[in-house]
Amino acid sequence: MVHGKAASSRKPHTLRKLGHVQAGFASPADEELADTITVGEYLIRNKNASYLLEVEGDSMQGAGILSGDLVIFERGKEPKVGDIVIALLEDGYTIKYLRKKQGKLYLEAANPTYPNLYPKQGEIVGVVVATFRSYT
Amino acid sequence: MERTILHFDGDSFFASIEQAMDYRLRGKPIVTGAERGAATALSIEAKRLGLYRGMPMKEIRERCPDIVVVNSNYTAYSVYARRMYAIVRRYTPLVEEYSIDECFADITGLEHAYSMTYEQIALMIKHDLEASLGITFGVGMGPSKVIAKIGSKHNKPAGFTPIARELIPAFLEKVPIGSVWGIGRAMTLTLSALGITTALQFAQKDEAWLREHKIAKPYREIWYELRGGFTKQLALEPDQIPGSIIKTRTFSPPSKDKAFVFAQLSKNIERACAKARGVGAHAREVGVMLKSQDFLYRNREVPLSLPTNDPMIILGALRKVFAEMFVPNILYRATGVSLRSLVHESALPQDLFGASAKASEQVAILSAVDTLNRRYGSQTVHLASSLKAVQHREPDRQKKRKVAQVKLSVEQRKKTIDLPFLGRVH
Ligand SMILES: [Mg+2]
Repeated sequence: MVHGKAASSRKPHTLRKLGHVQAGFASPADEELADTITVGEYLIRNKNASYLLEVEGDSMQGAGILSGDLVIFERGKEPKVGDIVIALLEDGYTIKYLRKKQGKLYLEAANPTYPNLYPKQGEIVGVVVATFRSYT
Repeated sequence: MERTILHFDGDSFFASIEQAMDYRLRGKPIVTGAERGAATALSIEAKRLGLYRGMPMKEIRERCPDIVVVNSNYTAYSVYARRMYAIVRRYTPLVEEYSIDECFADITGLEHAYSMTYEQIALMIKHDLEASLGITFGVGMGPSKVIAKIGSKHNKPAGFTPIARELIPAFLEKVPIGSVWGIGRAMTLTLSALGITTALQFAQKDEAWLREHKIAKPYREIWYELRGGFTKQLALEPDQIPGSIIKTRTFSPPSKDKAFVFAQLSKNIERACAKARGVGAHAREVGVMLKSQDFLYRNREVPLSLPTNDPMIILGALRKVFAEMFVPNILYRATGVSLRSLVHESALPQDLFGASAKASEQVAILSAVDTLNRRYGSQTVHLASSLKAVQHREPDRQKKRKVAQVKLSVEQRKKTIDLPFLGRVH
């Protein structure tokens, strides 16, 4: 039987945030001024309601979300029109923009080859709060 | 003040988590515990098929060949458990992590802070849990842990059952004595031999009966709570208790009036004690600080014979020390007090049926004081010894600087964030 993977146990990620790099070298002085950010806390607002999904396909490529990216969504967050949301439809999770036309809500891909979705069944389970991608 | 205790119990916790983490399992009968060979949890759908906890997998598969059987995933369950505790703790620091799928919370006195009734507060927390975790909770509310736990069992799944004191007998009538929290098989037999089969029958016995039948202390506590009392304290996590509570205050103009300086100290003691009562902490030692106009500090530590958060007792212990510390004819500008070596009240020896009636009377008075001060602003009700300080108006009305501080013990919870992975999204 297939089921969700074990919760991933991630180590604390504390990275130096560098100053803006202006087509040249970041000077050591800039680095001195820079802050430290904790990646998890930067990406996640409400960690007790946040979950991970892996993106498959190119339906959101216009929003810079590519196949293989990980998205963090917040469950139970009230979705606003224009948000990127996660909906659970009959055939699984889908990630789309939440749009509204003439009082009617629908889901729109960030890729013109995908049609708009007007699901009759299913629910919006949360709002995407972050995405990330590893190049290694 | 009458306590208001909540009990949260995740419905079919392990099975619900499996369903929350794999949408394909939703609405289906599923069973966890494949690795053990017996069911550790069943989804509501599986329970409806007549399957039960502990049932051998072999039997389950024979009876329901299509059922989904999964290995337990304790890593995931504990992530959800920690989220549950953390969410409840956003509303009150007084949370007992009772088990992987249950916790208690003390919300006494919070109606004012939230401008909501206790019922509304309970439902707000329940809604937050369910929205954040995607699983449902049974929630009970009552004047004690024993009663709150009866409430959370009622009306499953996703129920909310507040049991006000006057409703207790009606509930207890339907509760078999053996399903009361803390009453095991042996005690159930003992009590039924004495003619007691329901929780109500036990609650209606009197103290003489308890003595006559040599009912042991844990059961006397249950009896007491079934009657609407509160005695079983919440076991808080050690780092929920601050290392020390410090209250200091600078006054102007500086003063050499001994009674006035003592009143300032008294006021600080009252505020520190109120803070301590708020988190259920008792001090075993108290420190006093006097600061003079030329920034000369004097400090003294005084051990307390019994852990306390009663300002009268602490004032009594400090009167002599203050007299020794106070130097006439110099100007003082600040006093401070620190409550140290704090212990949580759950760690104090309980003395329920013994003497200390006077102490409990004092507890009742202090909690009434806390209620009034929360409602009408701090220092609405205060000790006579603080009067001079309370009446004192600062001439230059400096911006109300908050000098009060609570030092939390430094031990950090682990900083990692565990995110459940729910699969793929298209
Ligand atoms: Mg449970």
